[in-house]
Amino acid sequence: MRLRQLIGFLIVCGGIARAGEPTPVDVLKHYDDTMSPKTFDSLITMVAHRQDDTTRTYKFRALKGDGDKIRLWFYEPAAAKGQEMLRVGDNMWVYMPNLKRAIRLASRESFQGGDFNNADALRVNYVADYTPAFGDSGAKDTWLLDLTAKTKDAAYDRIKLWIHKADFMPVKAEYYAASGKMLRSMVFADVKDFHGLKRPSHLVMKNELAQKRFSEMNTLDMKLNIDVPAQRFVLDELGR
Amino acid sequence: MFRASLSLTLVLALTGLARGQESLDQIDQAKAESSTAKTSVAEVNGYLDNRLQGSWINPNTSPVSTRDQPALQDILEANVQLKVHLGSSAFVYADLSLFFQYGTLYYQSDGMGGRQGVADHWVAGLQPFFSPNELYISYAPRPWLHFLAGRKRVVWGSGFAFNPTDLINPPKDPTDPNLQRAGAWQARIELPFERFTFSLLAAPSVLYSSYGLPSAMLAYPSAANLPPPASGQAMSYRDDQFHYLLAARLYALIWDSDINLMAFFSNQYNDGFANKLRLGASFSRYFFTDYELHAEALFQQGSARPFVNHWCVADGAGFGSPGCPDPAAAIGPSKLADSAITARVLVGGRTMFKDESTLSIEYYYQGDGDSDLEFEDTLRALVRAQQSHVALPFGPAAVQDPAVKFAFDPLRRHYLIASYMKPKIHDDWTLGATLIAGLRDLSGMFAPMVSWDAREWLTLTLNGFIPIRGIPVGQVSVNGNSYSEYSMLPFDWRVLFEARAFY
Repeated sequence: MRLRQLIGFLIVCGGIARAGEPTPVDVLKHYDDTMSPKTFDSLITMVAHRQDDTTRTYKFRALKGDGDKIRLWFYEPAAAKGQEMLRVGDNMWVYMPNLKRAIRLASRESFQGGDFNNADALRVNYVADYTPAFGDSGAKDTWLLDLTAKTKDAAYDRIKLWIHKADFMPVKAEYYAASGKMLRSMVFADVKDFHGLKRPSHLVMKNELAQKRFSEMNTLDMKLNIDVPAQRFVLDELGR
Repeated sequence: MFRASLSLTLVLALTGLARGQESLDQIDQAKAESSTAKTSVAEVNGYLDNRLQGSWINPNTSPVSTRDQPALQDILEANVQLKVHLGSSAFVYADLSLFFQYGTLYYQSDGMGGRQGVADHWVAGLQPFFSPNELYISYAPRPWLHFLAGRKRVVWGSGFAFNPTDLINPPKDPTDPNLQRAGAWQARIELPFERFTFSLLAAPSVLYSSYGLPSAMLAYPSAANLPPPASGQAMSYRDDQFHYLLAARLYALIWDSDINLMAFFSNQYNDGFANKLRLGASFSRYFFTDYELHAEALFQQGSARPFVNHWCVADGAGFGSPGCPDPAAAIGPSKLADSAITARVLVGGRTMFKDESTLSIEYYYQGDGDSDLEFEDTLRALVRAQQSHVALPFGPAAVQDPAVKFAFDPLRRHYLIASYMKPKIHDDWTLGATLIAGLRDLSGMFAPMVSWDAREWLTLTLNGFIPIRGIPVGQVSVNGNSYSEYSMLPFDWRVLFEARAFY
């Protein structure tokens, strides 16, 4: 991963050398590499804060393989234990232990009833899904990337993403519907070093349509450069 | 029963081996230990579930006896799901349930349009039993090669409420597909690859079981080894054949679609077909971002469904008449050898609205279902059998399996299954409703529900079941009484309260 980061850094530096500042695509690629490395194995908790001030806590393992594939195993709470999720390209499934089978999911559906949607948790490939442009960030030390969905299959129609210039770390994001209404907003915090990859470990997604609702996602651990057979990411593997 | 209790006790004792998942290193370390130090790592979870249901039994709506159907019933289920890793490429999985049941308040027709009470009595279907819903060993020597032996629920079709291609498992409950967990005993070889999977499966019939545990598979035991019939039950039918199902299936992910092609060859496996080849296919895909569409079809020659001998019920004829010498043969699988190809097809879709509510609509065509005349004959046979006190191997949809709340056993050809679910009302409440409608006579079953996730580990659900029988379209009149398919359900309403605690 360090080599990959070095190459990314050199690409960015090359862009800076050519034009004085990286292009929006360069910055967005760096975001994708930071938030969703090529392959990883991670342990994550999600705490959903609800309207009645109570919380629901989920714990799951996420395994990302080559070629835009990711698989999740849920450990907590007890009612969700045994559930699995799989994404291959644009396809998503959830395995329900009570049904003993997997059913297809839409990318815009809520992720475990929290404030992230399935695409937030299972698909971070913004370079593929969005066209970036620089906007006015309002601060000298950050870029504002204005992302417009390339297709209707993207999870959001528009995203505003603030990136710290010094270290390319994401700072915050806003997610919009086609009508221009803000649906959610996210704050990226607590940058940690996961086996050589520095990335925010604490994400707070606020539901802008409900007053008190927000969800926190904490990355407890993340290993990189995982060698996983392609068969771990096939539909029939779920529930095995 | 002792065996069942002992099995569950052993499983519960094994749960002491279970470990949590505190970090990736712990997960990896546990698997490494299990692989190198010859130890086993177990994961365990499960639930305790209580279902209390009350029904208003109406013996006059159905030509089927209600004598053994309690108006008040309680079902307690203790479930444990255990996965024991045997190294890095094998594991044993068990999903076991122990059921205790109690029923009281029985009614039957008083012969004058009313009902009369029946004293509490022994009912075979209300005895405690053990259900090894799934119990298998899985071994994957290579990423592309998987072996499995034991009992597992394998569902290949894409239907949500119902799967016409599912010839393998016990049927599920369309009003709540979560309830049916039981699978079939089988040996399976699977070859998963990146974009397709090939599966071969062999499943023997369970021919005898005791308290849910199988005691004879594939072939009937010799008479000397035959267990005695349960009290009140006749000796089971025996033959010297092998009862099995062989299945092959190819799954492919093509154009963002799940496509399954299936072939089944069976000999008297869950039905009367002998050496029968059936073909199936299914499809599922999202269109326009939010609309999931699916289709599932089974093609076969003939039918294993029971049909009535018209000469047993025609005017001027009847049981014992020259055209119907044997009342016991009045209903039977008379189309087993038909050469006509019939199809069972389910087409449906599912979508989620902006408020996160979901709507699922499915249409089911059962090509070998009763025609109008055949349905009329069926009802006449049931009425005459009741009058003659003859037990026929047939009846309207009724709950035989306590694991499900409602059994979908369609008699006719055209059905609509629609379900709507609105979750996250005040965070923890879910409202839903399911409608199963026979489109030929517009009768059906309406099943509303409200669910409350009282705690992360506790879900309380209130279900209602209301037969829709009042629409006078396509009904059949027998002896002055009008019947439709779902009017034959022997209750006016049913309420079920369920409490499920997860651990």
